Amino acid sequence: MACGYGACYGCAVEIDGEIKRLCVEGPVLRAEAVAA
Amino acid sequence: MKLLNASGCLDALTAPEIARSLDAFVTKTVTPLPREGNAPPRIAEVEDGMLNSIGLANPGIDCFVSNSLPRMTELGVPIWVSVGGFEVADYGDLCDRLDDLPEVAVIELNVSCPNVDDVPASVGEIVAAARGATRKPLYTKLSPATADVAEVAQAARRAGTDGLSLVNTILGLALDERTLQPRLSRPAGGLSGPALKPIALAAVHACYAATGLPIVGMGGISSGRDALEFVAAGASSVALGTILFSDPGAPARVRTELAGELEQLGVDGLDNVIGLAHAEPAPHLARAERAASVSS
Repeated sequence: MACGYGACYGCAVEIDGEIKRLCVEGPVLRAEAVAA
Repeated sequence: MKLLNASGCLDALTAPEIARSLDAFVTKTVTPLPREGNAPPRIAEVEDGMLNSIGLANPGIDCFVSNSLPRMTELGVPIWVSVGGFEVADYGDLCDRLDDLPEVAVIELNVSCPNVDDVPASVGEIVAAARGATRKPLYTKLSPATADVAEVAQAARRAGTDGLSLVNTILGLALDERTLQPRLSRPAGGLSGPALKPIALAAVHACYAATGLPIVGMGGISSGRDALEFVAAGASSVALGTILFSDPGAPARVRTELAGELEQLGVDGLDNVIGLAHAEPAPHLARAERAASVSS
């Protein structure tokens, strides 16, 4: 994570088949959303 | 001299106070259609810099114009819109779309993203297409990863660019310490930060001598001293990029440090420093007074 507030798109993770920014959509997520 | 952000290194809507500390805000590159970007992981910290392979993630020009741009305008700072395409016509279309929007001060043509596969071949053709579509000031952002960046800059000038943004990132690779596998999924990414500074300085120096165009210098600028060096190499403005991630207060700090550097140098105004690193005065610029002001 570079910026931490949604600017850099560096912390992207795949959630439910879509690319999301962990800093904005997270940082706390349901485990099953990010791990198979 | 203006102080800007490098495209993609600042979100003005979530960090408006940082955007207001700049003389102009440069948007993340907008493309014709929405893009999710490349698969993660997309960033890796490396010695003296970072790698990114974001891949031009953005909402597309329609959403940008209808949703993002009106809110950016409320910041009260000039907006430079960075645009990127995948064929020459994309640039003309994007510029045409922005041409009649008074809130757009400048259009920056990103012709050099290292993180996408389909890059149009000719910078001259892209600039010509953009020039034909808008009367707004055009700045062309070039890659240093070319045999002769000054030659590319001259092609951009002939095609009608008003200025240059120098430089974009340059591809680098980082391997995982344990597995020896690439740390980015792409697997290479754009290198930015202090490691890029000497490369960027060389590009600014060469393009200033070759074109005389206004240059926004960027590439690892972290301090007032760094900014001063870019101006001496020929930049008339500078942009902060990677430093904004670790120091959001960098714009104010760099301004303060720059003032100190000028005082130490005994120069009255940064305009008198532009191009001072050149042994021979560029024929298109009156530099005698500038040199005199430094030695006095």
